[in-house]
Amino acid sequence: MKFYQSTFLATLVCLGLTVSAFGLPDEAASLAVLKKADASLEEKAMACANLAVVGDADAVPALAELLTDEELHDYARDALERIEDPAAGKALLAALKTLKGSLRVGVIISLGDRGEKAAVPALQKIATGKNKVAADAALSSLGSIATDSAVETILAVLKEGDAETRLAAAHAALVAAERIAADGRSPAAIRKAIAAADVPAHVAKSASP
Amino acid sequence: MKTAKKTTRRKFLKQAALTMGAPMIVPSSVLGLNGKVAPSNQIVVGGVGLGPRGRKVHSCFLPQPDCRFITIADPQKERREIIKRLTDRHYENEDCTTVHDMYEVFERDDIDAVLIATGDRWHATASMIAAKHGKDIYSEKPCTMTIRQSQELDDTILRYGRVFQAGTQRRNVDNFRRAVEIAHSGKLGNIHTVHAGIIRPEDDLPWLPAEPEPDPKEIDWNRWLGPSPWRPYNKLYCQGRWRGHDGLAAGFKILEWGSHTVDLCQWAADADGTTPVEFEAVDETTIHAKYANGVKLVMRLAGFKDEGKWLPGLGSCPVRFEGDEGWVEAGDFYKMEASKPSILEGVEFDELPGTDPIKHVRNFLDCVKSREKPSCNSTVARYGHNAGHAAAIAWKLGRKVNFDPVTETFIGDAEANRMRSRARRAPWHA
Repeated sequence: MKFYQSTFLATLVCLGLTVSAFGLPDEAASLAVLKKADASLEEKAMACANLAVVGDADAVPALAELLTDEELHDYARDALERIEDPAAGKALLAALKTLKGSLRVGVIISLGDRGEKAAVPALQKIATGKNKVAADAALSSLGSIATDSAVETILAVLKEGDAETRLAAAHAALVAAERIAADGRSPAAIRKAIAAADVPAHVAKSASP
Repeated sequence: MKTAKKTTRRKFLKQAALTMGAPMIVPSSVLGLNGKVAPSNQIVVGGVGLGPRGRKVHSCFLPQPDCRFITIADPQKERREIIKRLTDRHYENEDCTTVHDMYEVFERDDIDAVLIATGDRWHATASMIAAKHGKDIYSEKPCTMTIRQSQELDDTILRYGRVFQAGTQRRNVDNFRRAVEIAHSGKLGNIHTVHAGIIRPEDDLPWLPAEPEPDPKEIDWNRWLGPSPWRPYNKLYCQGRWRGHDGLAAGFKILEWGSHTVDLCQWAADADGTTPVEFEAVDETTIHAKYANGVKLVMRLAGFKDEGKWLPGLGSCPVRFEGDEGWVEAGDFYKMEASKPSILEGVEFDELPGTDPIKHVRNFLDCVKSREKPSCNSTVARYGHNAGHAAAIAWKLGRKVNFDPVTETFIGDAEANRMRSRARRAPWHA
């Protein structure tokens, strides 16, 4: 409380809602703002930003609903990306089926940043699909998740994809190699595949640790 | 108190000119006739998002004999045209090209390095995209928006073997360097406290009133926002009023000066490659931190009008290093003072202001050629910035937080850990 002042806080005070013992409003207060009919766009955005820090499974349905809102999507997705509860990952994965364009790409990126292993099959399908922007993002996320199955898809695209997707796969493979090495496993096969791939020299060279 | 001797600016410039043309830096083999560097051996540079600060750095690239600036990308037409005009005037031609999409700069095979000065929101993402395209990078500060981004940026730079220089130029400004050297020399005894000047932290700036979005050919608001969460357009954002807005600026303004001053404190405390292990905001403008070895880092209010308890007249971005046998304090006005005369005996420095990146740019270009790491490389920036980010999180939460510099996570504090990252707006990711 000592240092936190904002228009959002003013809204909470108007609503007669409580704040947590520390510097941030609590989850209930933020959810109340999202449900308030006349809350402004900014107040809702700030409520999502707060839920990114204090929210849990209870906040997921309200946030998931906002994923289709072009103006609030980024704020809702940010909160879902940061809420550790598995419900947040499930909500993002479910949204893949309905969202389109950059909103869908955003969810693909968030699934990778969360390391959502359950999203691997869906991401594999997108990574080998026709939409280049989505495929690029899906390859990147598969690289971050770096399960054996994810790596398998990355290496297949690295070998058989067109120039653009091969490059995206190489970048993803480099990240996957680092993740696998950090887990104490050998990334040698991945690095060998990158070095042998038909990609720009500076990328192939990066495969040498 | 004792003030150190200064050499004159003229003397420095003469010396700098000699140094910049010296064989050790530009091998004679790459020099063409009349001492000019053959075009095939010049470092070809492109600019990305150069506003007032970017133009200052750009003005330091232009006179370097082994560098050629050839293009500018900016979502604002007016800013593109200013850079083209300045560049063409310098080279006495009309060759500088302008584009509004930074990818067009990164994708050019004839460009070796990029200067990125977009504003905090884009620095790390643009730097990582540039690195993936095989470019070396000079990025203005703050270089990252979050702790996680500092990690990602450093990892990316190392992965692709790029040369990265954070725009924390005071590591290459004489009086600050001398102050650090004094701290390292033992003249101050054992260093127990380092002080970093910061401007007043702020987190309560409301969105600016919505205005109709302009023609993207004039200002491309979508590209201007880039990885930041969407908000309604207002022209003032594009004129520098993004500062202090959460989501557009890093660390509640703590990194505005803190990325410089904390960086210097890290250096003075021999803490490059680590961060403090605890942070606590003790009032609205002061954050105390402590390194694992017990050295204290105090981030406290400073300003352009002698705000805070700093020695008057030393200038902006002040730092102070205290040991059990004395202290030294330095600021942007090429000045330094110490607790006793003996500390500054024989100490000389030039009259380069702390805001001037000329030597920092030179250090970057030298490293592009040598492939050595610049003074403010991505790893130095990672830990210096993360000290600032962790301080900002402690300030925002209003409580003490404990930080593990190895895992770069907060210990036993879920809320603080969630503040280590934030989502990027699609499709911009790296």
